Amino acid sequence: MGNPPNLLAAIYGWLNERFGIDAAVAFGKKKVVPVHRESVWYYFGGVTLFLFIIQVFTGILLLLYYRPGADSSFESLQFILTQVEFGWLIRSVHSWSANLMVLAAFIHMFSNFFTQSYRRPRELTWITGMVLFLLALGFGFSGYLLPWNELAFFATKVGTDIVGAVPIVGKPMLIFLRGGEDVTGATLSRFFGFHVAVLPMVFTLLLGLHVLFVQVQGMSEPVSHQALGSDKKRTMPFFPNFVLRDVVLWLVVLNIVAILSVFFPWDLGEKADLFAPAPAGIKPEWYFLFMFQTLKFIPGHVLFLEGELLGILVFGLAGLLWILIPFLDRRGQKNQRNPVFQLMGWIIVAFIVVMTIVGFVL
Amino acid sequence: MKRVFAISVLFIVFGLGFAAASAGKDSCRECHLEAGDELAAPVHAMDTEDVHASRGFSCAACHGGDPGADDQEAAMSKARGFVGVPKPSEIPQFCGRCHADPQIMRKYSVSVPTDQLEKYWTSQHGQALKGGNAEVATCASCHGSHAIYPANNPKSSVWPTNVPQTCNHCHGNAELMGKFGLKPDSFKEYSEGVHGKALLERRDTGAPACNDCHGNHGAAPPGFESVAQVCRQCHVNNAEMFMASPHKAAFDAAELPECVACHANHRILPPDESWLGAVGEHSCGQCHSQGDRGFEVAQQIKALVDSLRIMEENAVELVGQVERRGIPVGEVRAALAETREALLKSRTIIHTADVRKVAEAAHAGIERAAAAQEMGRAGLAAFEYRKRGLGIATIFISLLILAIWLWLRHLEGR
Repeated sequence: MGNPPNLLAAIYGWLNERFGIDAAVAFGKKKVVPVHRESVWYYFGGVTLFLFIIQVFTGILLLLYYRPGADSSFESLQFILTQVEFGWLIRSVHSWSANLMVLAAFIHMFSNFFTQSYRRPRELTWITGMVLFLLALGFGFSGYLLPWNELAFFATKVGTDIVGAVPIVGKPMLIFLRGGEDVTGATLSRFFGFHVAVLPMVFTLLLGLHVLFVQVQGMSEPVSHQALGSDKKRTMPFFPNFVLRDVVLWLVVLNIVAILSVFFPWDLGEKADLFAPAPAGIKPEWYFLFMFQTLKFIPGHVLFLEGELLGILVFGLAGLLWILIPFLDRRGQKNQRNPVFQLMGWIIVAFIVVMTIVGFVL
Repeated sequence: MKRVFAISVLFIVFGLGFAAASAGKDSCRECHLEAGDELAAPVHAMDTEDVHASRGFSCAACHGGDPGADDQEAAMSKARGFVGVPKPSEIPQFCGRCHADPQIMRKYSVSVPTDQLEKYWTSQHGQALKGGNAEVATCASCHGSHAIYPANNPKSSVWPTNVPQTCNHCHGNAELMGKFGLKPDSFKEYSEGVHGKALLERRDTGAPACNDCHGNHGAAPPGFESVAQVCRQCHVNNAEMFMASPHKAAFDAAELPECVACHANHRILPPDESWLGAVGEHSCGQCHSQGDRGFEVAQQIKALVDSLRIMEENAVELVGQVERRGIPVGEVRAALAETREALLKSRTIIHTADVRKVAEAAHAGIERAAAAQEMGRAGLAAFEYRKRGLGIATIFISLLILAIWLWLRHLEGR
């Protein structure tokens, strides 16, 4: 038996011989991160990733006891909260980190929009990021139903109703999502399938691509920083300086999640009753609220279109344009700031914030 | 023979009415509508959902006459059975021509009662009318005359939520009630009581209206010795316990109106434990005084129920604290529900005036309340445990952050 350092060196050597780890380490050591006044936004991608990792770990732990089904979901959650050691903590951390992950993803997305990080050659990083964002919303929507409580049941009903209003494909999509005409145990089964199998698989693949793109192309620099001469640009090594800063922020986020979970544990509510009338004030999760509230404000009929349909079409078109931003921002392609897009971005942020607040208040 | 004659007359009256209706001719309607105002009002009223009109009865079915005749005199001639507007004193008999006759009424419903007239004559109203006082309620006073809705129609004046106002039409008239030596504030008192609030504010048609206690067609105040029989229609256990208690004989001897003696009649307030004390209009102190056996029993019962109530209140407060901290309280809720049930049971068993029985129920509740409190304390302890755990984790994480930060400063030569 050799001593431990020698053993580690031997294992490292064995792996290095086969996978060329030296090259990856050299890449990490050589890689630098630009330092400028917008650098702080670089960390939100890492925070989103960290919260996703928490989601995976707590999700797997919840799976040990969670039993999907109209007769067992709510009961198994009750069991997790009251009987399983630290079950309440795992469930609360899962719920809080899910919400914080969507928030971090929002911040990550808008910070990249305002710093025009989507500029050539990072178009695909933006697009994979956008798809990841939509998948995160899908995680939120499917996970919300899994406790099978009253609020989740009716929110899912309203949410899938909106999907059903999409022209041509709406009705088949509604049937596909619900597993029938109504939200029932069949809906719960397939939402569970999406939440723990389909979405994680697609998400992980895309996340791998997204992170790979960032690693290969490096961090995007804002237009103003890119224009500086190389002597005026400041950088820091990716490893360990940037990574350690990332870890510090992750630890802060972990602590925030823990505090929220202890002092504001996620409520389980009342079990869903398929025959009960919808309680007053049914609202979707906060990240869907701005769209929900907008749909409520649109009149029943606008010209020859139904109000709801018009809203869905506008949001659909806006989402598509948002994804295609890298190709629409011509000035950005020439490494120039685009004041029109910046203004548009702030109007969108203001719209989302105001409609979300209105949705909470009304 | 008289009966055969009466039926024959009615058939002639109905026959004329139906014949006219089938011929499409109704001179009553035509003339009264043409006359307008007060004379047209009954026709307009009949055109609502009036139960008689909806079954094909024309004016002539009740008032007689010949609606097929064009001439007013002919149409309203006594020879053609015209009876005109009945006097109030004639109304019971007027309506009773059909409503007291099973042979006629069964044509419209086999289950419709036909004893209203018989009961009416036994009521306070009927008795007074028989005695020559025409200022009493008759059928039309409660049911109306021309816009009579079926009793199961919420628009009907005798629909449960409308009954108190219908009765109050006369019973709230101070001048009229003065003539009978009655107080005109029954409706006001009833509205302030638990039954009135349930029926009139919460629209709970399961709550009793005037007729549920006094009867409807046979309306009369229950005698002092039969109040419990009236209340037991709903409050079965309370009434049976009272009937088997020493209070029953004592109340009868003292001519006390049973339940009403403590709970009042119309203004029935939610009872509480203070009623078991020495002071207050509902209290045991009305009859019992310091030193007598009944007073001692009341004090012992009060102590038991008070203890249970205080235990329950404390448990509810404690569980609320736990719930506000986000700790699930599913099982504790069951214990609280059992405590509540025991408190209600104890309050009911009070009517036995038996300390032993009250103690049995109260102790069961106190035990459940203690269990709920224990679970509540365990919940609070769990929250404290969580806070301690969080504190330790936060210290650990903060130290880790500090160590990494110092390492970074070291690396960057600051």
